[in-house]
Amino acid sequence: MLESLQYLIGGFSLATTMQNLAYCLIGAIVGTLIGVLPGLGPIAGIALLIPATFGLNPTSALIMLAGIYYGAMYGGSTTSILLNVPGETASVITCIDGYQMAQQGRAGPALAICAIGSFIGGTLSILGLTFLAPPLAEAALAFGPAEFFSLMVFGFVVLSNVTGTSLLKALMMAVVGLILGTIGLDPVTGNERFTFGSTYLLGGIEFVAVAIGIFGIGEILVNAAKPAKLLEQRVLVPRFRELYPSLQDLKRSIGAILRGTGVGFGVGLVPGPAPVIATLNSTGALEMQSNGTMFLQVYAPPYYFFTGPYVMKDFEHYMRVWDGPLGQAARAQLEQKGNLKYLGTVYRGLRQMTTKKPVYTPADVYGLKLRLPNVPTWMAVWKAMDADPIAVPLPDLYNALKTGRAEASEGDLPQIASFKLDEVQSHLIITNHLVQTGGMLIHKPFFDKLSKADQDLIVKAGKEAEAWANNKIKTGEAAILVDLQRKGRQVVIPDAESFRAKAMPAVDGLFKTQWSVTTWAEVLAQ
Amino acid sequence: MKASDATGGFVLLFFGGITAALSLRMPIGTFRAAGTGLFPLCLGVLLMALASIFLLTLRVQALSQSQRNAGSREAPESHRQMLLFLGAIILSTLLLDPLGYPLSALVLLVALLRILGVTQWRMNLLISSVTTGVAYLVFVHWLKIPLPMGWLGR
Repeated sequence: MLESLQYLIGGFSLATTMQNLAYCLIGAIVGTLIGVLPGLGPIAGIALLIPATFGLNPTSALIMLAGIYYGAMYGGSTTSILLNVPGETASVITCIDGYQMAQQGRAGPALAICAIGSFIGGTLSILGLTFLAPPLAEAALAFGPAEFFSLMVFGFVVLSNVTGTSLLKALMMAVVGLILGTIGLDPVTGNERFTFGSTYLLGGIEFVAVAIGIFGIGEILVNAAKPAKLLEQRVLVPRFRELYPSLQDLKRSIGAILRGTGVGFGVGLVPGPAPVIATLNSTGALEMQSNGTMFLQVYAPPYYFFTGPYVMKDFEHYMRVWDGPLGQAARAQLEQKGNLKYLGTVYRGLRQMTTKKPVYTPADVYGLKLRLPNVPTWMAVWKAMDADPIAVPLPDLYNALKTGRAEASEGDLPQIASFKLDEVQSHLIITNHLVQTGGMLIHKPFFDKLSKADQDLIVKAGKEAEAWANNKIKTGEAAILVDLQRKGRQVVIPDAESFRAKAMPAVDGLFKTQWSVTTWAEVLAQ
Repeated sequence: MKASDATGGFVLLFFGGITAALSLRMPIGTFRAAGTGLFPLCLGVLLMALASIFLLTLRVQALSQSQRNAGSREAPESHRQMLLFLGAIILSTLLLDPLGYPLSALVLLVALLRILGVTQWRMNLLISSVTTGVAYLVFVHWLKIPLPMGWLGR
């Protein structure tokens, strides 16, 4: 506690210099302007304005970005109150009361109360988080599927109490919302649901789009249906005094603000709807997982070189290293730090590159806007090869390539085929730059509680699943390659050694700074 | 029975039916090992059940009151205006890819202002052009948001 207080005082002394307060003010103003624009929330605002902070020192830059974040959060409520169009997801609820107040000529007090409420809620939440972060983080991580389900049920119970006169209508609308929420990729199986072949729908329907449709377009259509005279009558001209809230307004609001602070603080702690699987598996909320290699990055980061670009020669080389002393050490660290017992390795294919032009040598990737997942080590290697890496979430990849936001992508062949990237890319470059694998892991305390017979059965099933999956993916990889060629995509086999040589300084650098348990030369020697 | 409520009830009944029918094309699985289609199938059936109860309630209410409540009706002119508005929005969405953002936004604004009663073409074009220009500068130039440019971008 005392330590937290010292850090907090130190932070305040840095943050409250005139210079940093000025940057915060600029950030908040620009953030508010961004937040007013429908569809652009705080995260998008920060992403767009990061370049504006490049010239600043790190502290001022972070303070300015915080200003942008909070400004954008508040900006979203401005259009909710004035136009019934939410600027971003969090301000949808503001439409309900705020717009009603605006229609009564009380937009000024509504905007002021919103700002005061945001300030009180934000400040108290940050103070609470500063002092209570470690125990609250443990509680938040214990939030598993059963708790999420309970929270959803609680949401529906609350919904039934705030829906006016007809419970039946509210329930029907809730079910329609849930149906719309199922559009996109099924989070459990990865299969498509109601996408009708459209890649735009793979990522689902954004909540902001639905909210703007319901509130914004709904409001426009309602007004369009009214005679012009009726609309003119609704323009109210308040006096200046009426633009800020009265003491009575504040007295009535303070209870709701404090209630909102408590609820918002609790809900904000819960991990998002796509929690990190590795963490859930580590805490026992998930008993088993079979996905990528994120568990290494989270619980054994010095061993994440297994999935570093150009580190491994091929899958056989990968398995030799994984079955050797380095792999054993990685598995030991996973058990010790992540409570995870490793059961098997699934080969997912070699990662290749897709482009709109042929790539033969490293010079051809100069300035190429290459889409990568948000993995810092991968970005570092491609940046060192003079490409221009851009982090785009997988469901948005197709559109990013189509609109030109990204010019090239990299991934394993099943990914290239399942996301139909061949429709927006003309060339497949066989770079073989990364051996993509997935791990099967089980929560170790859960495994240890099982009988010896059950443990043996799980280990045996893991080995069988590994052999079956590896065979299936290797066969499928060849079939995908033939299919892509049949569709007329140009397959280019570049000079692999020159690519490896170009990547060498960056990969060597990563072995020195991030993966210091070994060297690249030692890995290649196995 | 209120006509708008009844229409809404039938639309939701139909929507639930379509959802359930499309879900049946996906793997359903079991409740212990749910397939992709199980959750939407349950939701589709639930929506149909709720919509049926809603329609029945409306029918019972209508019979007990033994009088038909026509509900509030908009003037035919207002309905026409609303439909034109909706049509303009749908049309501009369809034109977004071939015409690009600047031109389709301009077409949409000209149409909307015309529907709203701005009859002077000069004033209409001035407001539409300035608004489109500002939106283009903010979104495309300043915020670098990739929007389709249509044949203007070629």
